Amino acid sequence: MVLGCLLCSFIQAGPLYLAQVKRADVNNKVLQKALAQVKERKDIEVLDNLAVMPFHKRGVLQVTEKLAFCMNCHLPLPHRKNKRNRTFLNMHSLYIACETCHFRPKGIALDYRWLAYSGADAGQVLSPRSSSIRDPSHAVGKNRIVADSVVNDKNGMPKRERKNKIEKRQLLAPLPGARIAPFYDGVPVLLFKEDDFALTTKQVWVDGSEQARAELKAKLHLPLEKAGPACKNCHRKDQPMFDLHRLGATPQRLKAMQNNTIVRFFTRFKKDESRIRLNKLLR
Amino acid sequence: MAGSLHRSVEEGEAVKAGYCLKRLQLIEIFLMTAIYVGFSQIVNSAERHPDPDGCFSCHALEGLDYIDKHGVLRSASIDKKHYYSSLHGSVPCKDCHRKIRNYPHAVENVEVNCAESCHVEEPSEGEPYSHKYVVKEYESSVHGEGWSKGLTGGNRLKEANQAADPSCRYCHSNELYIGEAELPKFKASFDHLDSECGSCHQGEVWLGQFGGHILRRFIGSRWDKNDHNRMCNKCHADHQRMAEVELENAETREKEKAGPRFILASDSYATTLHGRLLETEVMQGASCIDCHAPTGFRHGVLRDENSKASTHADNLAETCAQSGCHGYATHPLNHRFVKTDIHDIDMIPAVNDIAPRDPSRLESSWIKALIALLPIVVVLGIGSLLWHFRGNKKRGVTYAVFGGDAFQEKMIGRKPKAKIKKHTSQNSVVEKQAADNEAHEN
Ligand code: HEC
Ligand code: HEC
Ligand code: HEC
Repeated sequence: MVLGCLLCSFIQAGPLYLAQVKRADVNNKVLQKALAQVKERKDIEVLDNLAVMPFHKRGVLQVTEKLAFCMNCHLPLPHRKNKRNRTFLNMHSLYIACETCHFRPKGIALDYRWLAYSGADAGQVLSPRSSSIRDPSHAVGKNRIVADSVVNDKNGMPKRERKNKIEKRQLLAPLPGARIAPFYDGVPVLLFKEDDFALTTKQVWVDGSEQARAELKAKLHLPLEKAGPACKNCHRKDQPMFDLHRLGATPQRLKAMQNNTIVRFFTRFKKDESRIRLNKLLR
Repeated sequence: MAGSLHRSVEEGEAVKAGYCLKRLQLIEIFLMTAIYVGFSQIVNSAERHPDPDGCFSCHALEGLDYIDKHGVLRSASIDKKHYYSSLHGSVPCKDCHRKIRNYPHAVENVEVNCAESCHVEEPSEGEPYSHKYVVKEYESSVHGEGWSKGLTGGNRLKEANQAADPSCRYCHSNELYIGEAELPKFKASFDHLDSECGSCHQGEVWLGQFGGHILRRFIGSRWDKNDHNRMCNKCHADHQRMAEVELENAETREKEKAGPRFILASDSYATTLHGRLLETEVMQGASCIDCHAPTGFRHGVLRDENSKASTHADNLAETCAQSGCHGYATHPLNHRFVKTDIHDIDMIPAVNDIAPRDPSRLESSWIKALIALLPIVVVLGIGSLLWHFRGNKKRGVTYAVFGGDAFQEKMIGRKPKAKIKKHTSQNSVVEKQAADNEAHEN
């Protein structure tokens, strides 16, 4: 593994992901599958502001200055297929980079840090929020912080909110829009939408033949994982994917993350299509 | 010794009395505490817990968004603070989304029926609160084919593309009790802060919900007349949309495309005094529903032909006379008052993007007047032309052709203004010389 790391640090030109794409050796089977996907693919026009407005008040979609390279082809809310987890995965994409979940090369130890996607530091590493500093933009009311959005009482029922004070969970991100991203040798392994390589591939994607697009898709995705890590990989006590404490989580928050009701509920699903009674959520 | 005994007895009494006093104080403190705790419990128990099913465990998380198979941006996140301060803030989620038991939720289990009754008690009757009476009225109205059940976030696109009539949610969303726009008025009226009501009634929920509900009534109705009109105009001012409406012909009972009178109803109303008063924020004007649904739950708009309609010819006087408006309208002597056409499309310029040359426009009084005057205009016009070109003109007689210059020159003996101007603009020295010469000659 050490040798592997040494090797790739020599070969590597620019971010690790790019280096792996350049070395990607696409076989025929993968290419045929990509070709089928490219043929099948329909461009999607995102519809918002319909004449019939949503009944409940909507939040505002978060937009950052820098966008992931993946956005050249994928929608800003890329997860659509799996009814169970699509909303949760899209929510995580607000504070976790695509590559953190989808790029986990075997045998290479990556380091996870906060990366700024907006503001003067965009593209730079950020130090974690010190737990004593509170960002007023995240807090509501009397700036109180709750450990978890689900506060359960002894019987496992959600606790009545004290004095009806509505408390908002404080995100860990040290800056709005910042994401936990993989680093290798102190350098982010990922690309942004407006990087040179991204722009040239975009050209191929827009103007290229079906074959060229399929080749591109295959090459870009060879180093990627189709499904990201399971919920438990991050939301557990032993050997999580990254150390949330180092990323700025307070002990309470850490505990809430490690023992998250929703994650526990999710681990009950054995089959993809199954539905589970909601009262199990609170057990 | 006796003395000392006595003293000690006395001391004992005093100490006893002291104890009693202390005990009284203790009891007092205890009682006070009990009352305080009890009271604060009462206040606390008055707080409701609108999320008994724990839906907010997930739905309060921000960013639970996705793009569905039709490309519609969907959101499962509910802003908790907004919800609690909204019109439905005290209604638990499952009162509307009744059948949700499993996750992922099956679409059919999410469907909302607005006529369902919820577990919130209507305080005066103690009956479960429900919109069913409103829905009943709405269903028997002209808009009654709109959707009032089966509503889900996912079928908004279908409704927008297919439904002609407005659904409940087309007009109503889950707004704040006190809207953002109303807040300054609310604050000015009450100088209302946490410190006033908040010393007993704690928390933002109280402020948003109860405080909002009660104080809202002081500021005035949640809707003003312009709000009503805006709501109607969302559809009725949209000519394209109105041109697609099919109405049942009262005689043949067949569906027909709506005519210009219907399509331009919003425009014609806007030209009336009623429309213009409201436009200038004078609330004496009548809004759309003041005439079309003046009573009941104000959802029962009916076609004019319907004998129950407030706008039916037989009911118009009553409608105009309502709530201190045109009281005299009901007097037999004033029966013609109600003949005033509130939707007179002749008030709208004929050059219109929709149905400008519709034959029904020929029935207008303006057209009738024009038709009556036209022969006279034509006869006089043709006569003048004929006389000008072929008329028998006598020598030496001056006929004013345009502007009567000749009349001025010949009859009054004065140079017409136009000619004077022309002269003065020429070289005045030459003119002066000519005048001098003339004087010399004379
Ligand atoms: C050049 C266009 C392009 C770029 C850039 C791109 N993708 Fe894709 N991706 C595709 C296409 C095409 C598919 C096939 C499925 C579809 O049409 O959505 C796909 C599918 C996927 C899938 C599903 C599994 C599979 O391989 O079919 C994942 C996961 C994925 N992409 C992740 C990413 C991530 C993460 C990035 C950024 C690092 C990224 N993609 C960048 C075009 C692209
Ligand atoms: C928290 C981890 C996580 C993050 C962050 C993440 N993904 Fe995923 N992604 C997953 C998982 C897990 C799946 C598999 C979902 C399934 O089918 O159960 C997936 C599936 C996908 C798919 C294919 C499935 C579909 O629903 O169409 C695409 C495409 C994709 N991801 C793209 C992205 C892009 C682009 C980003 C960055 C904006 C991103 N992902 C960020 C975990 C993640
Ligand atoms: C790559 C690591 C990772 C994976 C995989 C992951 N999570 Fe998370 N999750 C996080 C982080 C980090 C946060 C906290 C973000 C913050 O608070 O700023 C989080 C937050 C959450 C929260 C919000 C908790 C709260 O109290 O606010 C929920 C719920 C959650 N995750 C559920 C899931 C589920 C369900 C899955 C699987 C579908 C999953 N997570 C997969 C890293 C992950």
